[in-house]
Amino acid sequence: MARTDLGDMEHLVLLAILRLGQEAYGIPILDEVCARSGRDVSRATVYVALKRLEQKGLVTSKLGESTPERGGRAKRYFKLKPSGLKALRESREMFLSLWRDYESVLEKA
Amino acid sequence: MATQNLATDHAEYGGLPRSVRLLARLVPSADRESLLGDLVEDAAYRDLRGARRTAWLASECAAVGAGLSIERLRAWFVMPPVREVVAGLAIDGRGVLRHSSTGVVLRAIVFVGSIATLVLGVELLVGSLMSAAGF
Repeated sequence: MARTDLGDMEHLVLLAILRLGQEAYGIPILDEVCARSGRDVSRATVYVALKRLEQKGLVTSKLGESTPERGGRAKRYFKLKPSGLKALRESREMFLSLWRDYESVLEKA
Repeated sequence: MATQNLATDHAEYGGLPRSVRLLARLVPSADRESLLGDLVEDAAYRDLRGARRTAWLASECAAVGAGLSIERLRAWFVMPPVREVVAGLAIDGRGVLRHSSTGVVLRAIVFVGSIATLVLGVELLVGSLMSAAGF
């Protein structure tokens, strides 16, 4: 089976969903991505990444409960699919392998 | 009086200004309500009120709407978003059937039909061009 290539933001969003577990919806995902990456990531960037991950079949989403502070609107919860976990593991292996080879090069540079 | 206060609170925290409701049309129907819910919740968390809340909601809504629209446009050239089309038709169609007369429903059907035909035409054209180009 072909490897799924992950973009930088897709990678961050997948990790955020993994970490948040049952509480992975728009706002906590955005907060988690900003906090962990140290970047000022825009909401639009995260939502587009979420949409792309859904289209790639790496995450699934379902509507949850609505609350008064949301004006009665439901939350959309995201969850990693097995293919999403597999993509994360493969991406991690690829980066680890790359760094094993380039660590010494970087030190000499 | 209590009812009036409750209504004001609801408008402040859950209601949306007209400009934001218009901008929300940029967001695909399937994602619209959950996105607006996120924005309303975040605005309340940031304690935004009045004109500042309206401006913040409008700018966030426009940015996300534009981003998702561009993404959807890009996706059209990769794979027809069948799930989105069906979800959008179901959500918007339910709203039209609930609140509108027969004339409006007929106009909506003609509009949706013409858009669907245009999209199909563009997809066929792009597909043919890409096949001819060897993709």
